[in-house]
Amino acid sequence: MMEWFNTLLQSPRFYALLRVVILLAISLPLLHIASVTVRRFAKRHINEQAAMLTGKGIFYGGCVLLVVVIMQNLGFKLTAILGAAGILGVAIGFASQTSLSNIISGVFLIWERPFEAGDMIKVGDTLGIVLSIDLLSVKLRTTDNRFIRMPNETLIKSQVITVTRFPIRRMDIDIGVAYKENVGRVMEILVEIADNNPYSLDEPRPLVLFKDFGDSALELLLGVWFAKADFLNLKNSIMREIKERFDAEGIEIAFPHLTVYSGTDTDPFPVRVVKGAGSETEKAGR
Amino acid sequence: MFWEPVTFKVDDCLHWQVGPCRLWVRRTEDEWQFAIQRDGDSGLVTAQAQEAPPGVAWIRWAAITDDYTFRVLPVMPDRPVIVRPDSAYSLPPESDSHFYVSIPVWLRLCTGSEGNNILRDEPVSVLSNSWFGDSMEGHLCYALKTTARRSSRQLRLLPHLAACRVHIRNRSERVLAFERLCIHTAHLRIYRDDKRFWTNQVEVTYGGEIQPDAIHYTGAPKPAGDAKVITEARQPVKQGIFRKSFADLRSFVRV
Repeated sequence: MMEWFNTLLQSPRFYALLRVVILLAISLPLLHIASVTVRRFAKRHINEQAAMLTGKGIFYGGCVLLVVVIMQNLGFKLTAILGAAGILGVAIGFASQTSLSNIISGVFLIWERPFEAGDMIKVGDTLGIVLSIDLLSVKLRTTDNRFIRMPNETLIKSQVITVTRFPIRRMDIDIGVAYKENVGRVMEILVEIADNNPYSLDEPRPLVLFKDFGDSALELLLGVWFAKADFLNLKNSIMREIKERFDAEGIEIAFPHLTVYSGTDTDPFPVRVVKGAGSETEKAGR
Repeated sequence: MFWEPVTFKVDDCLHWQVGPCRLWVRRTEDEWQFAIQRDGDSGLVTAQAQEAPPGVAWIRWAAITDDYTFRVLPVMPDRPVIVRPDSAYSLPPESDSHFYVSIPVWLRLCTGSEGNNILRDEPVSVLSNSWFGDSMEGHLCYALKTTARRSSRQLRLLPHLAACRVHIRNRSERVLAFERLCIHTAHLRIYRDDKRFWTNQVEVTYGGEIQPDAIHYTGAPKPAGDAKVITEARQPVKQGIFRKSFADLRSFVRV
């Protein structure tokens, strides 16, 4: 036993292994501490996403360096390994073009910062809150609490709407009223409704626009500004208030309808449906 | 004086009314319960034994065992308020002016004789939101329904309104034309004289369009006489602050 131990102590490999163990024991905790410290510092001064990436970059970069140093200590020839790694890298690169594209897109997303974790974004038909921006994908939580993983490449190629970028937003409500209504009075009432709603900002002023003479209605637009957190409160309250106020004022909210004329100078046909034997329909016309 | 502490017995139900806000507070063995209603009529009722009307929504708080003292304190709103003068107002360079503004107080519901245990802050009347700044940057405020007046006698004398005197100095080289004034209420104390609530006097020095305005908060203004402090500011400041306070409609040209 003693003889085996003496042989071990005289072996240069034992000392190389010992060096590697000591190196790992010191370097790994140091890397961890450095990564966490930089992450905390960056979180305070930049943003959470950049802090996370910087921390991870420091840790994994340090690990790569550590592996190189360990290889050297164990007597591996780095030139040959790096050459082999180069060939392997090209092969892996060809095989993982999509992943690489996503990684590069991820770097651009983080650099450009069109949105941050916590923002609500809309990509195509998908609306959700950004949970994290990772190297390959962005993770979203939809408003009905589903999890969506969206590849970074898709985000770079698509039009992304950051709904919560600015602190206030405008809610545009299309309203159609019957042709018989007094448009000026309707516009005044819409402004009053917006002014009396506590979630509608008094400044910027609500916008009322007479948009068009539609097929079945006079088309108006009510644009109400609100703080971004009040979207649901405003939507629910103002829609109800418009309906209730229009009902109270006797203003008809128009719906698509078709009027048939019997000739150029005649009134439309009055039609009356009479329920009876054989569902007989009586038409009374002039 | 509705802000004085009131001692409850188990199952007492007392009623306060401050302006349009009606409040019922009940103490059970282990809970504080309160209900709030707001209506159009302004009035003042202090700790009157009265049951709440049926159907009101009760808010319940676990009570500290031997704490039977309840206080309703007037406090300033939790956001800045925006007030407009009667009409657009212009102040020539190197001139001073002043306005009086009525700010509706909030009610701070707290327990303990010193009011140390704060349960909740409730607005006496719900004000509309407003925005001070442009569409990309600024802060959320409340819009006052009343306008700024030139004399304190023009302000309505109601139990829930605090009068705030704003002294404006134009120290820029151009005419100060403003249509909206933002008052940062978080730094205002509430005082009381024999008639009404007052806040600190706010002194705003306008130095130009680009730089923020220098705002200083002094004590109660002269018309308040020797008014006593009722409530401290939400965020007391020893020295002044620098913030934008004036806006005209050009702020929203980019909207």
